[in-house]
Amino acid sequence: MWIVSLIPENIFVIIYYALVGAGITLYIVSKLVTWIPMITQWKLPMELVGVIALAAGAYFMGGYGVQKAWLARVAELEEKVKAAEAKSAVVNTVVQEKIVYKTKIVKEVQIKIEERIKEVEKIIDAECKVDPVAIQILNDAAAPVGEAK
Amino acid sequence: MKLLIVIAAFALVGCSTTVPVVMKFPDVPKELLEACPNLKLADNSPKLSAMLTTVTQNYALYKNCQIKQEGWVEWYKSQKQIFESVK
Repeated sequence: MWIVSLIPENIFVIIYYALVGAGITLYIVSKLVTWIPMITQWKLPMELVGVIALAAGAYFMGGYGVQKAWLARVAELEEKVKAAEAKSAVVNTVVQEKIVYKTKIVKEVQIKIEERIKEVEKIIDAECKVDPVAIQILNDAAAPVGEAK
Repeated sequence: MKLLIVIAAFALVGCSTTVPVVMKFPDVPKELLEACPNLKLADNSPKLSAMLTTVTQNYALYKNCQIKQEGWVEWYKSQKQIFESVK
């Protein structure tokens, strides 16, 4: 079937039009031959062939029209998908950059906080001593929960 | 009747059309695929400064996780909008 795709499209269009044209012509001629006694015996075959050719031509022309419309739709969708994929990549870059930037800020703030704690470490530790039970409670709260063992 | 079936089958062949256009599922930024780490546990030092450091470190871990979650929401909303535009 792929070999059909090698034939130029225009040839098929010409064939379809020729079929429709021949069908109409044969049908009209079949109606006129009653006036010409010599070829009256061809009336029925001409009419039959005419109708069949007209029907086949109309079918193939319709099919060609539908095929053309679908190909146009495919091309349109391919364009849209291409544009969407490009946009999608841009979104990824934007999201990635935001994450990297915000994570960097969090890290910087954390370093500053730890420096501040170090600066006042002696004051904090002089005033208060943490009971091991408090540490245990804090660690219990921070411990992962619901993980598969 | 048989002729009708043949004609109908012949005519319906033209109706079977598939559109071979599929959109690739978008990749997710690798940062979003990293799982949020477990919170840090305080060591047994009785110093309040040590405990405070652990707590603030855990705050930072939470903030990083929050950033990732926000990233997922933004990524999903944007990708959905793009996906819906292809119709």
